[in-house]
Amino acid sequence: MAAFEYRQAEEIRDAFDRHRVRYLIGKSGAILLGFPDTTQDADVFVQATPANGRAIVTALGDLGFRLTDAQKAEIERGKDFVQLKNGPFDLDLVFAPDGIERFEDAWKRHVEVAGFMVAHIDDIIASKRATNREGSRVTAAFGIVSRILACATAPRMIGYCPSTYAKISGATMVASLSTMNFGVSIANLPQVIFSLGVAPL
Amino acid sequence: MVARTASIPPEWLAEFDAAAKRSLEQRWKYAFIKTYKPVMDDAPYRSWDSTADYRRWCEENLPDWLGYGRV
Repeated sequence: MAAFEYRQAEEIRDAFDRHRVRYLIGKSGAILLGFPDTTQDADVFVQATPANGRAIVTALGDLGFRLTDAQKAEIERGKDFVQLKNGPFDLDLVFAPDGIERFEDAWKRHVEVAGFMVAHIDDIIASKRATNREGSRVTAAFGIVSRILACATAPRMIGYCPSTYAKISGATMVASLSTMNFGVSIANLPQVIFSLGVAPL
Repeated sequence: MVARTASIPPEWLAEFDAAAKRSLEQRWKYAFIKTYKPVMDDAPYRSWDSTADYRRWCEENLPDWLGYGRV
C-alpha cells in the first residue's frame, strides 16, 4: 500500500462531513498545523457515541473500507482502538486516546484547517507524552521550540498560538537529537527515523 | 520567518522555515511515508477494548525497533 495521500485525507474529511462524523485529527493534525514531521499512520480521534459510531461506519463504507458486520458492530460500540487496514488506506480510529480525558473537552479547543477538524496542539502533545514512548520524549524536548515556531509556521491559523508546547521536527532533526540524548548509534539512524515516524500512538 | 532564539539550533529553524513556505498538500506529501511494518501490517483489521490493551499488545507482539514500546 502506498503512503497516505492528501487526496485521501480530503476524502476522509468530505465523507466525515457528509455523515456528520464527530472527529479530530490526532498526530497528523500537527502536520496540518505546519510542523515538518514524518509519520506512517493516519489516526482520527472519534467521539464514542452510538450515533457517531454509526456515522463512522457509513462514512467508511463510502470510502471503500470492507467491514464485516461484527467489525461494524465494534465500531458502533466504540471500542477504544480500531486499526483498519482493509480499505484504500490504513486508518486508526481512536475512541480513547491517552492524555485526553473527554472528546468534548478536546472539541472545545479544536482548530479547523482547510476543513479538517484538528485537535489543539496542546492536546496532540499531551497525548503523545502520555504514550511514554521514545518519540514522546523527543516531543517533550522540542516543546519550547515548537511553541515559538507555531504562530509563524501556521499562517492558516490566524490568531492561533499554542499556550504551552508542541512538537515537531523532521526525521533528520529527530535522529540527530536521538543520537545526542538517547544513545543511538549512527549506524542505527535509519531505524530511529523509522521508529519515530511510525509510532504516533 | 520563524521567531529566532539563541537556544534553537539553526538547522531546526531552517527546517521550519522551509515547511512554512510549502503548501499544505506538499507538506502532507513529505510527511507521510509508507514502509512495511512486520506483524502490524499483517492483519486487515484489529481492535482493542482499551488503549492500554493496545499498548500491551504492541509491546508483546511488535519488534522493539518499530518503536511502539514504552520507555
